[in-house]
Order: sequence, then structure tokens, then C-alpha cells
Amino acid sequence: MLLVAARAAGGGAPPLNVVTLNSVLTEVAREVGADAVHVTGLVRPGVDPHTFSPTPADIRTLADADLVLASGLSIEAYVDRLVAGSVFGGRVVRVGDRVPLVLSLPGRGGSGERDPHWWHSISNVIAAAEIVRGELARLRPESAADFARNAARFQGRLAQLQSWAAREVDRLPPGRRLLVTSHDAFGYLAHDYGFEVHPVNGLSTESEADAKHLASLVDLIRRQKVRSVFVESSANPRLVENLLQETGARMGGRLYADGLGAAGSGAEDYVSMYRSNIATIVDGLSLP
Amino acid sequence: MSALHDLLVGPFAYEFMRRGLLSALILGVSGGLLGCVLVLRRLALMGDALSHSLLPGVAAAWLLFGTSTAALFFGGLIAGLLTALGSALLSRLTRVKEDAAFGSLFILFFASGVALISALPTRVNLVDFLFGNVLGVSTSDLRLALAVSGLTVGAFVVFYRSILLETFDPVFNRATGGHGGLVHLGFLTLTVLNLVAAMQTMGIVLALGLFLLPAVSAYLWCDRFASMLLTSVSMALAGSFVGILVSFHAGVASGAAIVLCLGAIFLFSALFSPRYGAIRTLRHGGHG
Repeated sequence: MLLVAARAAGGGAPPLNVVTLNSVLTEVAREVGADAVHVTGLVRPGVDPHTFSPTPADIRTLADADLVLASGLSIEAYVDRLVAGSVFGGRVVRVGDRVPLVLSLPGRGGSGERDPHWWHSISNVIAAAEIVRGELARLRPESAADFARNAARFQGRLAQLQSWAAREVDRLPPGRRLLVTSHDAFGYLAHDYGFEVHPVNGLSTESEADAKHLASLVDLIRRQKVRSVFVESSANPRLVENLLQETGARMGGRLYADGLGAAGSGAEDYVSMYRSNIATIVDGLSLP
Repeated sequence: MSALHDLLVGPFAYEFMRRGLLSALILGVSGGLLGCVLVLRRLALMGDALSHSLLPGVAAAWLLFGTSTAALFFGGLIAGLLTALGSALLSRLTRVKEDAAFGSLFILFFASGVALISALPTRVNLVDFLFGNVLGVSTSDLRLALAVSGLTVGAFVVFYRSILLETFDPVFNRATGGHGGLVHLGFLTLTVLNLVAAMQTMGIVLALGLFLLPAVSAYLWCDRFASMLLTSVSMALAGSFVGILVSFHAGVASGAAIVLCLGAIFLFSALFSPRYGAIRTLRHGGHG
């Protein structure tokens, strides 16, 4: 049926079958590919990619794909196992491994562990659109011009977003750019806008806090008079709630850390997700 | 003097430390008591099994009522009770022994939990909601812990004789007209209640540690039931206090730090207990 629909839409060939493992990449692929691709997002918006694992139906979808777009930077450990089991018929691109800005994690003994949340730097998403354009053009050279036009339009919107975000953050004095969040997912955003990040838990949603660390956060919030503390859409806010009670800081609101928000959340697409995060942070930290 | 103050008292200037310690102490009392019966009745692995069986209850509660603490508690409680009472019933009505019945039911429940979660529309990290963190204890968590622990201590005081008889000689107890079955079911209910409360407020590692390690350690030192109960509770309290301080000063995850302290007491007891320790057995041959 899809085939018929695509033919009717005017294209000669059936749409390329693209499967993504990250809700941001789902959007990138739809924007760049438009009518020439059929995109299936396996990790649906609102789902934590740290804990996602594919069902048999998902694996069949992956096996049938012409192109699989993964976040990369080791966030999807199962992809390596699926590649080793030669599940994929088509090509697998770990987009995060090819974006220009990859941060390593501070304070991990220089282990060289990389921060997988690359899409919180808009420049990386602009680059991701370019990577996806290249992959699609390779698979379907006759539509290369369309892909280039679509990518340029999407990248233009991202550039606008970039200057809007920079203007918003400029309203915050540098002394107030302290981001206390439930897990360490905003290193890229912090890097781009000069924030200092202090996560309650570690990088993954699964690592656990210790008392020493929590006490140092309480001291920091009191000393620097941090106005607001933020939680992520997919994390349990218990520890953060204790932190608020202890310090009198406010709950600054929910940030989208691990991908786009679910339908109806007001963060269903990348631009609104990013705007929501920036607005929440700036509003929360600029409180008197 | 001031160094000692910094070491022992200073950490409790933080409210999250006071709450964490208090919840560990409160549930340490009931855990120490229940643990003794579990160890003597050879049900030591029940806690471990139970922790897995809570999953479908919590998932169903989440699906119906969202992440309210009360809903998740009752969801877990119902699933736990079905497992515990179901296996008690199976072992009485069929040829299957209680441990095998327990093992079969818990894995059945665990599997239904996994199936249910995989079918949920969005996958918030449920395990995160199922298992708390001793540093994230809220006021309502403390109230819950106090109620459950109070009920347990009350039951031990009122039904001490029945519990003693049922623990050491269930056959005799039943032969002489004791309500063995009833005592056993009551005891299972208390255990499930305590474990669910402990897991939700303090996390699975700490909950299981508090319910087992002090009791096994006490078993290595005591011959009389009453002194075993007292020793077990004292060890639970001491381990919780030292453990949370270790977590504060050394920066180790709090639940794990308390369990490691309880574990050190256990290993010491296993080696050096004057009558039942490994060293004595090796030097004198056979059990004393």
C-alpha cells in the first residue's frame, strides 16, 4: 500500500526504508528524506534510550531496513550485538560517531568515555542532517537534489534556533549558569552556552548517587544561591525533591534529556524540544 | 574532638542524611526480626525472589494510576502477597515443596512484569520507581516505614510464643493444636509488607541486605531465639549507622555502603564466632 502511495505521489521508485533508534534522528530522516523515504522510529518519543531493548518485531523491522540510523557513542549496546549477528540487511550508521563535537566525560579518570547525548548541541544536529543527506543520496542518487534542498531548509531552521537560543541564554548573567539536573545529559548544551553542569546521578539514568556527592550539591546550591533545579522527563524525581526541600531551591521544571517528548508534550519535534529546554532553564535560573 | 564531631555528627546536619539514617534504622528493626525467622525457616532467599515478583503489580499500578507512591506500593504489595501466599498454598495443596513453589511463582510473575512493561506505550524507567534510594527518602516514606515496622514489632511481641513454636517445630505446633498455618501466613504477609516498603524507600540492595545479613550474623553467635533477635536488630542498627557514614565520607553509593558494612559483620562472624565460626571448625574438626 505504501508502495502505491509513493508511486501516486509521483516518485518512480518505492520509498527508501529508514529505521532510526533515536527520536531526534527520526525527525532528521523525515525532514531530509521527505516523500522519498519511509521512516520508522523504533525508540518512540518519551522512551529512555538507555534502557530500550528491541523486541523480535523490532528486529525484523531492522533487518528489512535499507538504512539504520543509530545514536552511536555506545548508547545502544544492542546494536553491536545485532551487527555481530549480521541481523541487518542494509547499512547501519552510528550518527553520533561522526558528528563534529564529541565531548568526553570529565571526572572519570581520563578513561576517554564519551558523552552520548550529542544532539543537545544544535551544530551536531546540523551535521547529522548532512550525514543523513549523504547516506540517502548514496542509496538514491536520482533524488540527491531533493535531499540537498530538504537538508538545507531544515538546517536553516536549526540555524535560526541556534541564534534564538544564544539570545535567550544571554539574558542570564554568567554567575547564574549553573545547571543542577537529575542525570548528566546536558554536557553539550553546557559546552555551547557556558553552563556548569552538576548532575545528581551519573551519565546513565541507572547510576546511583552517594551521600558525599549529594551533600556537596546541597552546599553548592546554598553557596551559589542556585534558584532552580531541573529533572528529566524520563527520570524518577525523588532525589531531586529531597534536594529542593533541603535547600529551598525551586523545581525549575522538566527537561527533555534523552530524545523528544511524547505526543502532546509540547516537545514533539526537535525545535520545540530545544526551545522548551532553553526556556525552562533560562526562566528557572533567572528567578529573583 | 572537632574531628570526631565532623566524622560522626557533622554529616547529619543534612536533612537527607537524617531521613536516610532514620529509614534504615526503622526498617532495620523489623528486618532484623523477620530475618531471624527467615534464616531459621530456611526461607533466606525469599526476599530475593520476592523482589522480582513485584514487577507486574508495579507495572499495572503505574498503568492505571501513574507514579503515585501509594499506588506503586499497593501494586507491589498485591503482587508480592499473591506470590508468597500462593506458594504457601501450593505447597500445602500439592506435592510441590514451598521453595520450589516460590521459585516457580516468582519467575512467572517476573516474566509477566517484563511482558507488561514491554507492552506499555511509553517506557519510563519503572525499575527506578520500583526501587528507591536511601538518600531519596521522603516524609511519607518515613511514615510508611514507621507503620510497617511498628506493626512488625507489635506482632512479634503479641505472638512471640506462636512464632517461636512455628519457627522451631512447626510439626509439633500443629500437632498440639497451634494455629501453625495461620501464623505462617501472617508471617509471610509481614515479610512481604516490609520488603515492599523497604525496597521502595531504600532500594533493593539495601532492603535485601537488611533482611538477611544481620540475621545470619546473629545466628552465628546466639543459641537462644530471644538473644538472636536482639543481636540481629543491634547489628542492623550498627551497620546502618556506620554504612551511611562511610557513604558520606568515602563517596560510595549509600545502599551498597550499608550492605557492605553488614557484610563485614557477617564475614567476621563466619570466621571468628567462638562456637560456630570457620576457624573453630577447622581447628577442632566438626561443629562444636
